[in-house]
Amino acid sequence: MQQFAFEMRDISIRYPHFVMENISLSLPKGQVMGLVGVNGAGKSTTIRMLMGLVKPDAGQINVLGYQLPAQQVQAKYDIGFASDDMRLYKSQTLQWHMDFIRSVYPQFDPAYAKELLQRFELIGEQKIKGLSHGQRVKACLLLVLARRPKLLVLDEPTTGLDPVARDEVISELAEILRDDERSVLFSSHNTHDIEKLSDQIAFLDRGKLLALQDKETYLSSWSRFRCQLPADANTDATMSVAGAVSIKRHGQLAEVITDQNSAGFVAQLALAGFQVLEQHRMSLEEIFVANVKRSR
Amino acid sequence: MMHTFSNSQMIKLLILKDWQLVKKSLAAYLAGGVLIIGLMGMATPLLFNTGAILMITLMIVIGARSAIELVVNEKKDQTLTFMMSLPVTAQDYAWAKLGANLVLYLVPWLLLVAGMLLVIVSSPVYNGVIPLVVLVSVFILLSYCCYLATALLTYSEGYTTAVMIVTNLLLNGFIIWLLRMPAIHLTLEAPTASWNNTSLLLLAAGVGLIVVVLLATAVLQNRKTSFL
Repeated sequence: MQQFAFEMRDISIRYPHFVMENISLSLPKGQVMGLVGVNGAGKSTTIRMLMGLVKPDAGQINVLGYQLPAQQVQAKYDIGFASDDMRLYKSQTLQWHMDFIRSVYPQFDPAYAKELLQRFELIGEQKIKGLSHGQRVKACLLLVLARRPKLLVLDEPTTGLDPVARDEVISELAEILRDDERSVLFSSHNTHDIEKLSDQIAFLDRGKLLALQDKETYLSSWSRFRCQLPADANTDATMSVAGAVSIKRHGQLAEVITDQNSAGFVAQLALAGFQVLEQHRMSLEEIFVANVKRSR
Repeated sequence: MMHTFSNSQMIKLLILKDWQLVKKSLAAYLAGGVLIIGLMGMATPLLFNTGAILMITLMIVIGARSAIELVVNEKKDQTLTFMMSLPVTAQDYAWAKLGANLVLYLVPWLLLVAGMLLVIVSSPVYNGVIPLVVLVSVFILLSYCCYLATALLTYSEGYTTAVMIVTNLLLNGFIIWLLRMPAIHLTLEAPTASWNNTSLLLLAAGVGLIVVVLLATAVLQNRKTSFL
């Protein structure tokens, strides 16, 4: 019985202006992975390779025990995919789409679909062209969730949603995650959603995997220190501390960010003459920005 | 998990889906076709020729709308991602698109051609025009196959439209060329249809080219490894 919802090993792909090399990513069954990165980092490319929509130049991909892209048909019966650039047929109603999906997937649950219609406040007889952006996003999610896939792959599922709609979607995802057999991979710019739902964080930047760790370990490895420098410190000198991602000086004060938060780092600060005034846990958004700036 | 649906079933579902998307407009076009056939059946040269021009236009419009709406727009309107999330490969999807478009064009095309031929044989219109009608209809079918192939291989509205324009211009030239051929021209006012060597050769060449275009499209589609 496979342990992983998916495994990507040594994946490489080359486009004229973009390269991804030797990316290895895996998600244990029943877990949630948040895929984080700036625009153009490679999140959508990674997701598309996982869905068999794009063939990598090298490497192996296994999803729910199936090799991709060779066995993508079998895999896709158990994968629910929705992306922010996915659209439905404007001239048709939501009910038409539900009937179509029901004809494709034997495991489509009409009762659950009806429940989601009510929860998302959607009308089955309404044509897609009459829906707002938020309603369209919810409609796509309904079509995916109603067939109870084993793996949910969501590319920017909450982009463009108002706070209420986003909360509805996130709540529904959280509900799904109570089922230990279901796994979720989702990419988002909204780091609050990722922080709320994910068990694991994967951080991509410019086609490289900068980090892949469980959320708590990742978040606690980062820290921001507000420090006082000694009175005789040379204000023009460039200071460095082993393990520091960035050091910003404001006169005799300095803000130090590290991704190696530990007693050892605090000792390093003391050795460098930094007196720690405050230490703050960083949010995923702050880590996101610091990590990207570091790699530039 | 063993799934009850094989991929031929998925391909059928996709073809059925495309039929549901265009059935209303197809019904409208066929209704228009019936009116045009009625016009042609009035049997005066002016009304017959007017009807013929309208029929050519209708056949082109049916093909153009089908290629653009069912193929090019699928990428443009971003419904392609929705389709690709289904349990299909690039090749399955390509076969479904080719199949759907051919069926959804051939059925009205055959009905309209049959309708025209029925009007010709059952009215005072000279049966000698039958080879001309058939050859022009086959040329229109060949044109459709060319821009369908372009649409399927490129998903580009620009390229598809360019091929449509070129084939439509060639159609005019083809009709003029046909009318200047003695083997066609001299038999137009005959009481019976004259299928001579020239007309049969042209028919065979037209059908042969259609087969070549479709086979080439299928082969090139089979090589696609990604959709997006």
